[in-house]
Amino acid sequence: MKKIMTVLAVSVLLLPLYSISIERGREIINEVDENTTFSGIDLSAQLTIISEDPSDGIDKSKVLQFRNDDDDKFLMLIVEPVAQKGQGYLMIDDNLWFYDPQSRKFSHTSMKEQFNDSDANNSDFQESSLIEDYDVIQVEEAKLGSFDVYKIVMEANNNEVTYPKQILWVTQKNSLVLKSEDYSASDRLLRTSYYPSYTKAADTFIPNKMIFIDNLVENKKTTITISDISVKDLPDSLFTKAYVERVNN
Amino acid sequence: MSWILVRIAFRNLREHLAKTLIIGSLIMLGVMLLVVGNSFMDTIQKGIEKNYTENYTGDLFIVNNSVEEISLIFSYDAMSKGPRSVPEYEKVEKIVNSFDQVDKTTGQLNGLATAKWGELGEAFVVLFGVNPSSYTRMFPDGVNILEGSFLPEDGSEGIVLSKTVAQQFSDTAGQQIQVGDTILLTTINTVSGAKIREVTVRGIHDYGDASFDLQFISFIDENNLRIMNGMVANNIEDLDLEETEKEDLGNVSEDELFSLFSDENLFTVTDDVSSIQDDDDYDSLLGDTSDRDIALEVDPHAWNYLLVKLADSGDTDSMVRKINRELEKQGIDATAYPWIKGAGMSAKLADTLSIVFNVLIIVIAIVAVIIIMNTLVISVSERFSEIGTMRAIGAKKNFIRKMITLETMMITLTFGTIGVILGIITLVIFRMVGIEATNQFLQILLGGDIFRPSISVSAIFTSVISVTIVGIAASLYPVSIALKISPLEAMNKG
Amino acid sequence: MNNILKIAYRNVKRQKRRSNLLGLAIAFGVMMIVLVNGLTSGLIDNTMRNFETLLGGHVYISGDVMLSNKKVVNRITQVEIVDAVLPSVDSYVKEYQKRSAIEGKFIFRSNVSQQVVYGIDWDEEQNLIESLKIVQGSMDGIRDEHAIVIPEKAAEELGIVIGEEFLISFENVTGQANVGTFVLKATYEDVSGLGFTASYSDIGYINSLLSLEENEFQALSLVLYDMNMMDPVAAMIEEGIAEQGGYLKPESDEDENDPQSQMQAMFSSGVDEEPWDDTRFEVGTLNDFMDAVTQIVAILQGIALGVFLVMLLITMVGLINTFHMIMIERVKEIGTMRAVGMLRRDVSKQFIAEGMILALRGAFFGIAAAIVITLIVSLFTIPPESDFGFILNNGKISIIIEPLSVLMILIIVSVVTLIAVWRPSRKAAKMSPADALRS
Repeated sequence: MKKIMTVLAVSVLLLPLYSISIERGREIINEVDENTTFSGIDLSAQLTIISEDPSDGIDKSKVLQFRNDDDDKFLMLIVEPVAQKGQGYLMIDDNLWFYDPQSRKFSHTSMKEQFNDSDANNSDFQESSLIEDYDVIQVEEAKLGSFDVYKIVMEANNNEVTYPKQILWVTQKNSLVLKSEDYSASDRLLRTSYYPSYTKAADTFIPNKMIFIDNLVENKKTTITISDISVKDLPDSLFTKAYVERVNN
Repeated sequence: MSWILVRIAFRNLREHLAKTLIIGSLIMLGVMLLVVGNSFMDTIQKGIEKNYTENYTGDLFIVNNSVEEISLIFSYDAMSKGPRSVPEYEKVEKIVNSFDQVDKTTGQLNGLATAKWGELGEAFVVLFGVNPSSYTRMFPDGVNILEGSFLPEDGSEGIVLSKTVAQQFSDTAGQQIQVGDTILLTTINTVSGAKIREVTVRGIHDYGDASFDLQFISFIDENNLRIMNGMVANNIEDLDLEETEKEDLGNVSEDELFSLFSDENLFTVTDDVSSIQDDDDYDSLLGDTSDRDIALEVDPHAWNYLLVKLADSGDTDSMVRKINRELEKQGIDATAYPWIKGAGMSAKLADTLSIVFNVLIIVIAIVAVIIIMNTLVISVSERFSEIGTMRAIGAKKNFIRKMITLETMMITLTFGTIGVILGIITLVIFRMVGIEATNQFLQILLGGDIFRPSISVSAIFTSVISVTIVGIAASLYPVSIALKISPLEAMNKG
Repeated sequence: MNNILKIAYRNVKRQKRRSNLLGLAIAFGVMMIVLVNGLTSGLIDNTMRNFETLLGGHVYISGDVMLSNKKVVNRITQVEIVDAVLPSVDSYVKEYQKRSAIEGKFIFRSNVSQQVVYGIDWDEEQNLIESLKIVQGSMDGIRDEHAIVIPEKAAEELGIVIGEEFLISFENVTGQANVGTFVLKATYEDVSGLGFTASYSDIGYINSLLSLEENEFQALSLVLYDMNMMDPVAAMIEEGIAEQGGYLKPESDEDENDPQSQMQAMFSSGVDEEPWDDTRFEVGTLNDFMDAVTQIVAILQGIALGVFLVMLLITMVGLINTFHMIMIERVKEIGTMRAVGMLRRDVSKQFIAEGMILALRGAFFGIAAAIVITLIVSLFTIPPESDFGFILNNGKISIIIEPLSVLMILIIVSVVTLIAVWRPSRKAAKMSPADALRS
């Protein structure tokens, strides 16, 4: 509570000088949400995930992702490493099926599990609604590299979201998030994410690259490169167990 | 000469009948306690051996040096950062078998999985991957099959469920799982990711209640567990990074990251560059999958542990040292440990309790022996005047020594034998009545539900011989004092 | 009477060798009984204490709260119910331990290790402080807010030394990510050899990290005077909570003692639970968690009793026999005494006095020797890598000599001596002086 009061006091003091209105901040966040939703479109892309872990070394994996958010359908096929090629995760509503091509068997898996133990959580691949969970506390104009951005400080409006505080750097021009910082309940920086470039497909912006830096464990980082982005309609036959089996033949 | 000696000794004993009986009864009690105590110790030792070394640990085992947290039941350590098998297994096997003391060896694989049977049946299994022929040769009585049979000898797939796991399936599914049913095992490893295997239930076994940490152990064919553990022959570890990917490694500079682009070129507008033209193209997305088959080929010599059974369990510690010396000399990154190091918590607790038990029995034995000694010392001390008289009438020192020795031997042997008989009777009564081990730990210690001490022949011999030797020593000491002083003095004493 | 004692004492002194030997036998027997008795009670005490500290008490009260998103978190919100119930069992309880726990990643630079930290009220848990075998650093500053003591192995894994700061990353009770900073004050060694490893820090700080109130706690463990009272006390608390209108976790169909259901609980993620308001209480005992501990203690108690009885038997038989033997030897002497006009009654009394002097003198020496040996034994430490750490007190063998059992041993020795001397003394006293002299 004390912390919040301090932040409030500081922001009140700064208000007449730099600050943009909180209301404007909410509008920007709303745009950010809209920019990153995939409603109305299907999406397919290839993700290359490189994780650097000081104790486990460097790991590379490549996956194909297909999603139809309107119908709550999601399919992911592993391409690399070779030993895991063809393993598939098929999600329809809340059911997640895992396929092992070696035994040609499916199994039901829980949604909660971390995605391949990287710094990226499952939630990073899903739709998120910042405006529902966060209040904008402070907005100010800032520079990030060569970009003019708004730096938006947000605090969670309930105590059940993972990160109680986030700071976003959003381009003034297109409302694209370039950088975000996630903070813990004790106001410690946990994770810094960078989104240095985007692809615009239909009316949705999709980051080409995402870099997640673990701010607690030194030298721990995950880089996700997204390529072969397509928003073409995907056939329903794709989101079936039969397809997952077929693609492995 | 010796005949006379025996007669004199015998007459002496009869003359001091009351004293003889008193000393004798003490010796009898001592010998009886030694026999019973030794037999208890033997039974407990065998109980632990039966439960562990002859059931699943062997006398010693060999494991990869990088596994720090060793457990033959399950070690997270052995799985968390890639499967760690015994390096150069065949060579290690050869080294171990080159020792004459080594009786048998077998490999063991470990794993964890969740299991599903049909739609509803769910269970959690701890897996032992074994070679059925060498495993059953090493532990002929180790696996107690309740239903069906052990894993097929020809190495074909299968699982032998523990009673507890089978019960779990039955509880969750609402019906009894049968031999011949198939179940799905799911697990995850760092090499080949998540794995699903379908296996046929070949049998149901039971380790018994006593070894509570073994109750989830189910046996599976070695090939299936290797696949589940990601123990592959061709480790394609080469990290294949493209140039741009290499550039992305290491520290991130915010300035660099955000100065390359500007608002104008921050995003590229895609006109859909997807190569997929029609729906059939989706079917060939993964392309050739033959490289996967090579990557997944299992290493047939990958084992987490090499278990070793010795001809004589007593050699365990010395053999561990010998094998470790040899492994080090050959530069193999593996270490041998005595069975107790890997046998799990119940074994450690039971082993400690058996040590406590044995120490206390030894203490009791020592106290008994010392009290016998003391009584003998007192009894001989009482005879100072008698010894003096005998010396005065011309008996040689040697004669007196022999006489007393003979007397003591006669007492200890006679009453020792009675003690042995009483001890055996006690043990037989114990065996017949049987002490029920109501407590799981007692069951481990005593090797079964009902405690029936075995009668140890070696214990009988050691008891009688040690009491005799101690008796002679105890009586000769005061005699030597008596002989040192002059006959006259001795007569006046005591 | 005084006269008889004097003569008896003189006799004891006159027969130096015999008296010494007999005294030595008694002293040795008594010493061994005292030592073995003390050793077994030490073993039992250590085993119970080691498991008590490792598993934190005998009876546990914990609570679950269901959040609006159906997530279940470990928390007791209705502390007043617990407070109302506790006085009814207070007479059985030796110690109350209020703890909170964090399960998370310990992070030091690039090194990460998954561990559990207990929040401890250090003022209440003197036992824990004593039972931890400190390898590096000291517990002096452990009451500081950020201070923590961690297992030696975890420190090695993290590559951290005393005085350095590290992070613990975890989720608080509502599911928010949180990070605490901790200063390593001390590392300890797991002397139990059973692989229980937890870290300990101040409960105030742990609570603030977990978003709990300062005086809140996640679990209350009770250390009882008598661990056999575990189940009755747990039942009383459950009854009390129900009476106070608290909601108790319904008994599951499966047997709570069954490790199988515990395993299932560990691996399944609480599916489809009926929602509830406030705190759902759960009362557990050490037995639910580790049946083995009570079993081990029961076995040790059995062994202790058995050994005590056998030792007593040996010493008794030895004592009786030796006295008998001495009496037989002394028939002549008795004759002389009777001849010089001593009364029968006095002869018998004097014999008894002699025996008692011998026995009690021996017993006192025995007890003294046992105390000396205890002191010597306490100087040695058994290397903690040994597999039997759980029966030791920080690697030391404990021999607990209880005054009451010493008194009992003295009484038993006296009674045994009386029995041993009674018959021969009567026999001797009955003898006519002439017969005695002749034999």
